[in-house]
Amino acid sequence: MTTHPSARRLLRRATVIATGAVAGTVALTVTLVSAVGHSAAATPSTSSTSTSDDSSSNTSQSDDSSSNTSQSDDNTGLSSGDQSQAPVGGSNGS
Amino acid sequence: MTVHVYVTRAWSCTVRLAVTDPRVLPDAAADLDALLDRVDRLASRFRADSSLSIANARAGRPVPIPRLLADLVKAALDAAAYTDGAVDPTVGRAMRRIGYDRDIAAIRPNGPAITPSAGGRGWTDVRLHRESGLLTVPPGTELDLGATAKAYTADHAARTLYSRYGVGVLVELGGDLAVAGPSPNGWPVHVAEREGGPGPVVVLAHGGLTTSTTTVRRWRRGGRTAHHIVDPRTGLPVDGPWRTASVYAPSALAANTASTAALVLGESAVPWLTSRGLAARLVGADSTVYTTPGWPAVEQKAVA
Repeated sequence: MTTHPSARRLLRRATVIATGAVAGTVALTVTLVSAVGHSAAATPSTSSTSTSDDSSSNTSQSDDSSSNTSQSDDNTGLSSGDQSQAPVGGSNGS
Repeated sequence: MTVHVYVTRAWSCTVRLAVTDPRVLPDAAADLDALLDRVDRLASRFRADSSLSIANARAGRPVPIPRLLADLVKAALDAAAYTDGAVDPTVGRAMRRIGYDRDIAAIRPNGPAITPSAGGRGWTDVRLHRESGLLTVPPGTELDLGATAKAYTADHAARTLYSRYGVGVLVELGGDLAVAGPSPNGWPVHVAEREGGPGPVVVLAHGGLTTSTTTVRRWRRGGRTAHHIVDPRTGLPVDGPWRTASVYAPSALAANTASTAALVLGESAVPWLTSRGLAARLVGADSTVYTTPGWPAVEQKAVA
């Protein structure tokens, strides 16, 4: 099969565009991962794993040493309640 | 907001699940029950066949463990690091020595005096390789995840159920409470030393709230009262100025780590909590109540 020169130019241009798009996607992905990683480091929280996975070993999670018990200074999640209000739950001594 | 609540018992404590949509409650409750059963089979110190007991029995050697147990051990080691060892999972032997060697309901109410044991920083010798799923308990020690496993599980359950069903979720495991998902008016929560006891109602929008106390899970040894919160430095039940600590934090695990540490740290608990920006409510041995900045000003009087 022969290819018309203009078709080859179009194909090369499309390849260049596609390559650029892939590179851009990779760069964007890296940026997003970096941003997410930065955000996670700034406000650590407990890890969450699927309850359906009971297989031994081979965890895909990183073995980093960052503490998931670190605190943020955000206490706005707690406020005074109406003392006559029926509680939904209890934080009782244990 | 109308919530729909499922109440049961597990691990010798009250378990409460609240959701904002009644349609998901049966399935969510079944999921929670299944998770609690899994954690018990993995991490109970009172079951010889648990993965944790097997790792303890093979101390000094690497033992393959399931992923969820690796996560629980990781949480315990993080708590130890964060508190510089005030909350140390290698107190398993000390727990047995003070009499907490079986389910709390089966503990003998009286027994001989407790023999003090040398303290240490055993947690620094625990080897956990999560990628290979191998845990090595230091020789001569036993892991006890009692200080963090409930809180970790409450967080895990709340997040998983919210992710699975897309509704607001509150999970309470014997005083360790976590919420996730939408809650238009927040979750009203009663804070008390024991269920039904006196204490304030606060509203939780997100995060975790836990209460640790020396006033429950008690027995006697050598004519003295013993309880379940051990000072890793002495191997003995803590005997400080605070009998109860409630802490709010971004997660139940973080809150429980701090509330347990507060009892162990004793006199230095207030500056420790304050310097970390943690909202807390402490009850002293004489029943006086002290709150750190950030704790809602709902009461300033002593509890009964």
